[in-house]
Amino acid sequence: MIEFKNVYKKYENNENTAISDLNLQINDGDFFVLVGPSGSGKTTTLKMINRLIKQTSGEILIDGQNIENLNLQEMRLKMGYVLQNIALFPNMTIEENITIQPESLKWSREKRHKSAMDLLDKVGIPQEYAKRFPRELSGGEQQRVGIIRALASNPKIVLMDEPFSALDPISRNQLQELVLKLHQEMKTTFIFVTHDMNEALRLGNTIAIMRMGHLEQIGTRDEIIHNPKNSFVNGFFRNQHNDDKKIKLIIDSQNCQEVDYQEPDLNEEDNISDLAQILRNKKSALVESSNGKVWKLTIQSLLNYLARDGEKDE
Amino acid sequence: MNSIIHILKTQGNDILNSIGQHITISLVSLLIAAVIAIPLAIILMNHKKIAEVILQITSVLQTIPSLALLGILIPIVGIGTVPSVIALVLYAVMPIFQNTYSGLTTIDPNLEEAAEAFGLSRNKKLVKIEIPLAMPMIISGLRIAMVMIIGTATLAALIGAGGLGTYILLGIETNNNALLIIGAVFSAILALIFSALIKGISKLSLRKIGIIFSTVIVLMGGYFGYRAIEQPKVSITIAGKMGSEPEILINMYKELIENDHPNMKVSIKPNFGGTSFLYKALKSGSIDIYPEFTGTVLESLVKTNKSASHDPKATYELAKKLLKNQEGLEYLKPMKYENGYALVVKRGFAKKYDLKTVSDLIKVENKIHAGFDPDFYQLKDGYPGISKAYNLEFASAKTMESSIRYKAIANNKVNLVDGYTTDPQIKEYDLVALKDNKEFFPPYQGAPLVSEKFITKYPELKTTLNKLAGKISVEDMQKMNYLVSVKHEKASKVAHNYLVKHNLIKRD
Repeated sequence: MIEFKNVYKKYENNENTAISDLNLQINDGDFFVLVGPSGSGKTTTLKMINRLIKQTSGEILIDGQNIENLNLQEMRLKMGYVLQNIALFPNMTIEENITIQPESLKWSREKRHKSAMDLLDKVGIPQEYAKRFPRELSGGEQQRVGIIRALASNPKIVLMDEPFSALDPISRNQLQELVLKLHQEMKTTFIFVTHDMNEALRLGNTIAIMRMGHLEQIGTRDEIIHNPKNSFVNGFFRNQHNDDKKIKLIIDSQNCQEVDYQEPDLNEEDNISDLAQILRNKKSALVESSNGKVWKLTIQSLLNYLARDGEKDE
Repeated sequence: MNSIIHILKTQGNDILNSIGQHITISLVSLLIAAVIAIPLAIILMNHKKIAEVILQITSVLQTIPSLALLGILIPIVGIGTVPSVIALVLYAVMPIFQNTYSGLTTIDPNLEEAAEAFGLSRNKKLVKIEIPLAMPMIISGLRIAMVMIIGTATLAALIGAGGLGTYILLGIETNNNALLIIGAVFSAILALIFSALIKGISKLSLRKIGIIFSTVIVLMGGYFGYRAIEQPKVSITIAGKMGSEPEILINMYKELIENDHPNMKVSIKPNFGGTSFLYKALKSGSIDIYPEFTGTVLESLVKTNKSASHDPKATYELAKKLLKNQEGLEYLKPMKYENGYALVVKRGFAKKYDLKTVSDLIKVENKIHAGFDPDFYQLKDGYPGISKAYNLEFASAKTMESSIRYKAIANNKVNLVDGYTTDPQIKEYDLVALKDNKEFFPPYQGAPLVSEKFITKYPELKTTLNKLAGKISVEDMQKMNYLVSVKHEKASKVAHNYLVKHNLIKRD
């Protein structure tokens, strides 16, 4: 079981608290989804579990043990991790990528090889791909490998940070099914971050909805659908059903400028309404696009875009 | 083109030797620089501030002119391969360090995060992910360094480390384009070959690269170890300045010493560069003997307020005394010929007007159109002095580069030039040097210069080297210079023939 007790996180050079007073429990074997708009603190929450981000105060416990007292390397070797940008190591073959944790755990060569082959079978990738390099695979195939890489060491906990947001809808659909299947087979704790409410509802046994560093509601799928705790949950749920326009459109219309990489406020897949929300309080918002670039968007960018969009509509 | 082919034919072995030296110096330098720079970049990859300081330092090193660096290194580490390698390493560290560092620090942060999240240890992360991903940058750093090293290594010739620079320097010095082109083209080819080789190596796996790396190190270690063991008991190093004349002389010294003392092994370093390099090298003990002119000693090596005497014997005695008192050096006995300034005319012109001495020029002074080296034109020991001493006033006198003034007189653009009495061009273009009958020009006699410490240790060498005292006339020297620098005969052969002909060594 993973427990968050009064966890706060405040980033330097940012006045707002990223996470404030977070308390939650994640039971063993659960499929736990953290969902919320960008800047809600869901990724921060996820990364605090494997100590990629350290909380400012409060405690995080795994099976009753404070994670700060665990050996960092040992702890991480027992956790799987799937990244949004897939991040397969381009210098290693598929098999080497999959078995990177087992190798560090000093598994024998045969055991490693067998486990890699089993996993490839499980996700429907031909075994002969094992000797190929990541660049030779399609995006969907790469993320399948990314997922089994996280499962290779039979971890008790697997962390997934928006793993499907960069994929096309068809691959996303297939992979959602795949992780559900894998979860059923493996009985591992999956902790899954997404900004897509549909995805959350589809995958999660337990869903935690976050906004601006606060936990808005936590509950089973049914509880969330039938008893939304407040207007935000309700609105977030509804908003996602509307085919709202994405910020990507503003970036594509070149009404903004690129800046050096820094912690973004939003993702380009977020809705323009999210952007408007942020621009109400701040002069500018930082938006990350799928290629990893960060763009600075101002009210002017938004207005320019809307004005031009209006022209087109007429 | 013909002369290039001729040189390649006659000196092919020497050129191969130089290429070998060039490759050795370059590879050793590259390996040492890589062994310093790559680990340093790895250590500093997470210490941005320190890394930037190091980058600054290495960039500053890069701005030091290589000649100055060599000059600084001679008193500390002597001459030959060691200072050359040190200088080259200092230059090569920067591109390798900079590329390795930026290669390691610009890895996709997502990959870094992944490696971190999977719980890889620091070493594993480095070996499995960071170094392989930075490898293309590291390799390009090595290639930049290699090309730079091969180019800069030509300067190693200045301090007796050999290499292709020997031909470039000699070509510049003797205005011989064929030599220059040989040196330049071969070093360019080497740079291309090695750059391509490194690129080829980069395609191999990390393990294979490691194997190649260690094989090269072991081979080189073995080679140098063998060389170190091979050294005979007494080894003597003789160096000479740029040009054919010093090279012939040091070959004579070598042969005389090895002939008289079979237990001694002499290594010679011809075309060693300017006076001050040699002089520093002698004083630091990196070389043991080099031939120096009496006039040069008084002019630039010792402090004296006496004005130069025009008597050769007095000049030698004064130089010898001052070298002993001021510098602790022993100046052995001089040879016969003087290699001083001379006024030179065509043989036909001299015959026509019956010119033998400088004084004779007074008869034709209004017919003389002179071409002088810019230094000679201005020095008080040059044109202004001699025209006063002999009361001469030429119809015209122009300055021209020293290398082209002989061509000017050969092509009748001028009919009198300045020169050195032993210049091979005097023979080549059938010229005559007029006798300085008033002994106006300061005397320049050559004699072996050694340290007192050295000659006290091997007093028997005094007798051996003094065998050349009073030997070698101006004509002999002119002829030998002609054979070496115009006919491209080997200096060692020319030296040997002279010694045999004059019964200074046994006939072989």
